[in-house]
Amino acid sequence: MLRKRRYGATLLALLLSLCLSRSVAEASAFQVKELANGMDVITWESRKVPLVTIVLTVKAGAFTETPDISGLTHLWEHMFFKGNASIPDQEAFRERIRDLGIVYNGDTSAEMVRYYFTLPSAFLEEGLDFMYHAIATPLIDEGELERERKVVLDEYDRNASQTGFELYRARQDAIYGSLSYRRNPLGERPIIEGATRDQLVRIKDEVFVPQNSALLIAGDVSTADVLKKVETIFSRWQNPTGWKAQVPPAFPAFPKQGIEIVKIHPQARHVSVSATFEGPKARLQPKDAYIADVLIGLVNHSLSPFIKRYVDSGLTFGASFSYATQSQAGELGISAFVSATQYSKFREELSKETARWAEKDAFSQEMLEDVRRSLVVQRAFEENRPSEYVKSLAYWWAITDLPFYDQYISELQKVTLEEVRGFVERYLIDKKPVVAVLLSPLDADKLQLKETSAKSERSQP
Amino acid sequence: MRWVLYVMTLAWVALLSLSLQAKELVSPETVRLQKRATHSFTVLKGVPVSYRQVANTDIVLVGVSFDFGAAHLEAKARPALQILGTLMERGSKSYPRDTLLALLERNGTGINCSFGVELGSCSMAMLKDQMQELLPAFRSILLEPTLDAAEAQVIREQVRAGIESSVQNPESYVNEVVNSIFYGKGHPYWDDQDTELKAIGAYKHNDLILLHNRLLKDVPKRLVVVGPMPPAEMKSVLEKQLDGLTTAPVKSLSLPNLQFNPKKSFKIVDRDIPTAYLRAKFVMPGARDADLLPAQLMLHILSQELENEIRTKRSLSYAVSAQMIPYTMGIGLLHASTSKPKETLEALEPVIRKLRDEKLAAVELERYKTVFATSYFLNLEEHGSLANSISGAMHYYRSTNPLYEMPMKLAKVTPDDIQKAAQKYLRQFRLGVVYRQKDFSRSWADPLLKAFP
Repeated sequence: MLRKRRYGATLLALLLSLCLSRSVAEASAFQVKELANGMDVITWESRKVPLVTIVLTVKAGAFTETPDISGLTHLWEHMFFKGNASIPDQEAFRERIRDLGIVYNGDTSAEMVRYYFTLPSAFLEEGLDFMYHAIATPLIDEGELERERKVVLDEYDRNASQTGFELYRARQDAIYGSLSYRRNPLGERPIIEGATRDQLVRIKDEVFVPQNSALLIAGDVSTADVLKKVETIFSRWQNPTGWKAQVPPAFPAFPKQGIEIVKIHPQARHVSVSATFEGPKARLQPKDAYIADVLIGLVNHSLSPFIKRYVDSGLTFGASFSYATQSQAGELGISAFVSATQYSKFREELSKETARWAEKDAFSQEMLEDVRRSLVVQRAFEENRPSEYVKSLAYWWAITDLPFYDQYISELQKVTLEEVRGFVERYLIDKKPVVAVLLSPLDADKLQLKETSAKSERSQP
Repeated sequence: MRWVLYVMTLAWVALLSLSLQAKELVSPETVRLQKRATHSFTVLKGVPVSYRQVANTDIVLVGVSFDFGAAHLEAKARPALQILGTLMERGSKSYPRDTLLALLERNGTGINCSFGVELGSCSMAMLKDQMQELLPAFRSILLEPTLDAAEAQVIREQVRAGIESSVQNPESYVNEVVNSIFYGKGHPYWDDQDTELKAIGAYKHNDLILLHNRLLKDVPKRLVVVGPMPPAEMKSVLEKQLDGLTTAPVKSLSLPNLQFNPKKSFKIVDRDIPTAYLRAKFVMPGARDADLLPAQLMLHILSQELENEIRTKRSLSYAVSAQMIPYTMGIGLLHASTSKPKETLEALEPVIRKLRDEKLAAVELERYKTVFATSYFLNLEEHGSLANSISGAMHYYRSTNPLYEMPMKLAKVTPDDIQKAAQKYLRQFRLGVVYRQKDFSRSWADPLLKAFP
């Protein structure tokens, strides 16, 4: 059942071909081993400081929820840092954290949950044991759940205090319709208020299992030593009998008619605009996901026509094109921050923008070479901070699987301008985006824009 | 060089493996090795260099640190400093805008120039093999930036929009609110939004050119470099590639004392949001004060205790913390966002009182030190944060020794030191609030504001 893979050879070959001296590339390759229980263990040695960072990542989040538990994966993430079979309660938990010198946190997104902490590498074994008990033997004490529920509700309200909160939700509803809860890790307030211990136990058994998880360890450690310790400690963690990965329902088709959402907020200053198009899903369309990243590099290149048109000219205060690599959904987006006086001109340009990207001379071969080279250098910079890099590896493991990431740079080197134009034609040309606009009452008056109603966006013609 | 870091690691491991409650946070050998890897020399006409040699990396970070920030300028000149930083990244006489940007894109890197309250810097991270091509451009933007007037105008509007939109986020806005009662008008560390907007409206392009001349001629500079090469080789590269860079004598920054007026210790700004943003500020020791370290550790402990009491035990807030900004004048801050402001403000007072009135158990203090040390080493992990730490140490102490000796000094901090720091500094709070005014009573702030005069 043990398989061992070594990554990095592709990267090394590529680096050499680009004539960039990266003598560390081979030594810094990460290693992957699968335990008998199905959990992947990924190690990364780096002896820069006497610390080790341990990350546990799970393919879970909003996408593994149903409407009745929307937001409870996030609540479960909070319960991770509570009592378990080894540490009886919160007080003992705090004490243990300080004993081990742990700096910790966790996050939940639409497609991934991560728990991570850094501690002195001398405490590697204790840290692994700490992580094991947190994930495998939680008590989910009713009293602790009651207290943490209030904290999560406070986090919810904190988000709701941001000017863009309602607009973001309306945008998600417009794109994902009745399944928008599967892109909303924060969830719904009433569901968090009514969450029960049984619901959390159900979530634990459905997704927080070894076969759906990876453990990543980076820092001042030896891989052989780590693997020995992990095997001893984590082999005790078992999958529920007959466990199978969930198959989430497919999202409805991206709205074809084009939707405009306007939110007016008294604290908004100037106008924030985003235009979202359907993008590739990384597991289903990996080649397109690679091309999307190249397109980002081209559009945001500091000498690109896009930057000249929107930023250098002063038409906006800032503008960019983005694509977040995701497995279940794909979004390509242009966002900008613009004055009310320039808004109309900006919108006019925006309506013509993506068609320009399909023109033959939109991007030069030189720019493409810049993007390719830049990705290699940026990878080297990323690796230079092991405590953050290991979290990034955890992200890629959960969203795309590591082969996608391992081949990332070599695949991006193969992308041609013709493929980029083909991508633009398939994903952007003649496609109507979901446009979201946030502005103040004063600017709304000036521009004669009216707020759209909360739930009606998707049904608008 | 690899053996150096390996030995350093072993020293740490050996000590910590003795006991979970480390008796020593770091060995003298570890400190010695870190010092040995840091080289001080001068280049060109007396420009000091702090060079930290790091093994097993191809990355080099070269930075020029300026002993110069917004606090050195009058309020009306400060926006020009923000514009200058961005504009310096946009081309020079030898590297016109598009040539420079093409070069940076081709090498997958960028130049970052920015100015804070007391310090500024321009830095560039690159691979070792790119140095020869990139350092001449770096030199050029420092010594002969284009400072194009039309581009300055675009950046000015971006800066203006940034200032105007800062009120959008209650988290950043509450900082403005408390600053207005903490600093008051005219303090070098802070300007209110109106003053900033007026200054940016009145800015003239010539101000920018004069400011850059001042930066070149009158401002003390230091090179902070992190990379893998032997020091002699690095020195030779810097001598050759940064020709023309000069420095100036160090001048001390004079700061007015902050006067505490209990009648002006509270301010609320009405905003219809479900979460109250609370931020208190108070004076802490400055970066050069002898009791800085115990005070920093005390605030770290306070932060942990607030989280325990207010978040973990009482579930009043998702985000509560205490932090310190160690400038020439130290600033402490307490922050909480909460939908229960009354209970949260009530809960702050006993936690602070306990730290002032009761001596911490020695074993507890040792635990806090271990976490504090992890954060310290995290800061030394990567070239950029390591360079920032070195730059700060050189600015405030003219030596990197205090940076590396910090764990040794930390080990000597006693429960008595913590209590003394709490009694001395946890007082005279000014509190800013952003929340629905109709749902907030001024009297809720009294436990915090009146208990510690």
